[in-house]
Amino acid sequence: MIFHSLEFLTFFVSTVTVYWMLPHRWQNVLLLVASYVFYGWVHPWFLALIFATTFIDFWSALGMERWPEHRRRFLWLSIVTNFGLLGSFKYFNFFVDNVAATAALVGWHVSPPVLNILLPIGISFYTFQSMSYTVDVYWGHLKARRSFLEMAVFVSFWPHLVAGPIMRASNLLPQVEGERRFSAPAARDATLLIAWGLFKKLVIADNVGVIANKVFALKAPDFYLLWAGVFAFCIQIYADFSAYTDIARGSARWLGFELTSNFDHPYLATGPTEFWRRWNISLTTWFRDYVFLPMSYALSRRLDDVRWLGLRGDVWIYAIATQVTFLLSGLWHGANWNYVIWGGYHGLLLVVARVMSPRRKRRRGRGGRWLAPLQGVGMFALTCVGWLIFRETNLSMLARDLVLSPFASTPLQKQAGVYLFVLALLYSMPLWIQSAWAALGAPDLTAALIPTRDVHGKPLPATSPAPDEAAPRWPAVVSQGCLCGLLFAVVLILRSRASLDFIYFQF
Amino acid sequence: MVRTSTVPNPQTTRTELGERQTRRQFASLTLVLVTMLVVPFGLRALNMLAPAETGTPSYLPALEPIWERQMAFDANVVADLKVLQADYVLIGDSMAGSRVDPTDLANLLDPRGVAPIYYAATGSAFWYLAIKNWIVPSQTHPRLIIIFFRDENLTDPMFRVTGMYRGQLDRVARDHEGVLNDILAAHTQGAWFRVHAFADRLFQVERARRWVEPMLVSAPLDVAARGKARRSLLDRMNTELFKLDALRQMAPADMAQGDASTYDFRRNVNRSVLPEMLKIARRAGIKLAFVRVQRRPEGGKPPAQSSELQQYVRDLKSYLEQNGALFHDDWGDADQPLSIYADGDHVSSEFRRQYTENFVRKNPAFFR
Repeated sequence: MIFHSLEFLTFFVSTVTVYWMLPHRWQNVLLLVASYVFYGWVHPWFLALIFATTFIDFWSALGMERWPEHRRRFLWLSIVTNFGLLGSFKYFNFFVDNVAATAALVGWHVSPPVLNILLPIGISFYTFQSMSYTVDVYWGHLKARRSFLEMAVFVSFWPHLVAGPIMRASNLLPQVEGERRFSAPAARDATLLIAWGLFKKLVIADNVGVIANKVFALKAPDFYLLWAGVFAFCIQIYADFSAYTDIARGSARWLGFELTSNFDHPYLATGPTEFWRRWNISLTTWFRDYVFLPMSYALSRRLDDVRWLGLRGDVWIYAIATQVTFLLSGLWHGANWNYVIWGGYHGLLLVVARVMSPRRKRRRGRGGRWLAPLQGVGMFALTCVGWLIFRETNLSMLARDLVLSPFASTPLQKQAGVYLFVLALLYSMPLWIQSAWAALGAPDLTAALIPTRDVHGKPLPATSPAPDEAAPRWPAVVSQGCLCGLLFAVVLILRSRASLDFIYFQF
Repeated sequence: MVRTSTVPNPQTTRTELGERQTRRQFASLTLVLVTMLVVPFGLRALNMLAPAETGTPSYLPALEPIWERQMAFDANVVADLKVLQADYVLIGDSMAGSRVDPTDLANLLDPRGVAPIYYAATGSAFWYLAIKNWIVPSQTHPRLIIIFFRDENLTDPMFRVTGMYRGQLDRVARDHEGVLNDILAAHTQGAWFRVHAFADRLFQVERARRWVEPMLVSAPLDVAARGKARRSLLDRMNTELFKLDALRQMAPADMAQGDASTYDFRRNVNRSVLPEMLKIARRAGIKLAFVRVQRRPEGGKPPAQSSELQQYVRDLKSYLEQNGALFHDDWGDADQPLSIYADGDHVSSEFRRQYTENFVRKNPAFFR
């Protein structure tokens, strides 16, 4: 079921209505049923996979506590099952194709078996989320849960099931287990989040997506058309993915849950490190905690004292761990080499930034902070190169694209490129205004109307009764209503006629 | 009356205050939801500022609200069919046209006649209208109407009804095509198209869209080009930069391979014109036959078929037979190697007679 459909509206209204009439335990039962209906709406067989993941991880975690001497075995059971399912459905064809291609290089021609099955949407997301639970239990950060129902709700919680944000067990499980109460201000804010998300998806992402798709359908785009298309894709992927997160967070808030934010104006980043603090935050921190840090720790025992090519051991540790983490992150996005290259490219940017960081700090000390806008533009350009790698699945086309000259274009190509670029810019203007608003130090455009933070800037816990008991600020309420109405009206008249699926569904 | 003063219980006051605020918060939520639904009525006010509209309402508002016909309904076809009173009517696009020669077929069968309704670049929406608006009103009673199609054509009513193909429908469509419109609306606006239509009437969405969207799309033209180049830029982009042969991954024909959802027969059949075709024919007492032509062979073999497509064809066959129609599948026919093909999925003109002869020989049930 997709968010921007009337099926979803019916599903959402009926679920929320019944949900708040039920006692806590039955709320969880309803959440589980609703999540399974949501996920199995088109392909009911997907449910078998999510159930298998839940079942194995639930019992693995319990096994770790019951038989501590076999903890490692239970962890491996969980890892092998989860990655086995993920690998079979997502990477099997990629793997056999590459084996066959390698065999062909040595003159051994084989016709590899092809798995003709649909990739279950969201499998990468819920697998990672469920895995984080077993790893946390293994590390002793978390107690194994006794309630299968609550574990199943944690794994399948429908608002974020298909495209994140990836929630940690330590964050979401207590919310599943705890009593929740309806909060009218939270529901109000949630409505605005959902309206903003739908606007970003249907008006911005889908309209600029048409431009990107048009350009990437060309056999030989010229420099101007290509980069107009890349810019459009750059907008599309952010608007699309962050829209899903907003709608997911809004839907969860209506149910009394608070999901973590996944984006923080990523295109304002002035460097690669900052970009990854702002982009797909839940996935980045997942990789940081479960891949990068353990690997850095393991490497530090071997490489701490080395000094190669004039670089200290800690830089090498960072470089190796970062590259491996980002190559895996690239592979997580899809079973194709362009995603791996994209991961490697970002890993490389991070390593270069790390090596250059002492120099940057010195420059900043000498008034280099005035360079920040330039650094922002530079980082945006580097990000666009990354999105080209991400979008172009044909590697020979990618090689051609990267060496295109702006001087080889005809006047018509140049005009068309400029036209498509400005059109994409026009559609994305609300996003830039929101980011500029944030860059100027003003509160986030939507957060300005959403009282999710207290006076000290700390987020209010979703279950806190405080907002309900405080007097509503009527001007803010009217502004919220008008903004929601305006977004709804613009969605009605400017939604793209080519409604596209959320991009991250395929991952 | 004696007035007594009471000391308020602080606990009670706090609870009452809390309850009052909670009620106010609920009121604020209601206000937000109501405002959200009220603001779009502003589109009606906005439309008053827009230039007055001219044009004729479309007979397929699901595709476009205003439509200027590129050609009138072709009533001559009805008259011709009435005169001809053909035994066999052949319907299809260039796939049929490049395969079966009506004169050769008539010579082979010696029936009263064969009437071809071949129109290049048409799809199942056109073929449905041809049965409804041409054949049935002509009061001809052919023994069989034979419809030629490729893969999922019959369950894809959106095939060739938009863009450069749109004008073709004018020749066969009446001024009101409610059934076809509902079918197309289910595709363009989803299963809930009636809700969309209601929202449109309520807020005048499409009216606003018709002047806001072109304004937005044409605004960047001023930045990109000047003078004459500005006026022709969009056209030149379509005809020169994004023309069909500039696109990559061109299938050997003009119809790409479908995916799993395209080949989900059960899901798509009730959103297609196929049940309507069968219904109209049944009412008129006419039998239908459907011929799936083979697409271009690859590597000396019939074109590969995904498991979904194979299942689709099985489901289609069974559905047609249950509804009293005949079905023939050309796929895998040894008499149709790559050598008989011209471009794309078309059969070369020199093999047309051969195909026609084989067609009669291999389909005795059609020509009893």
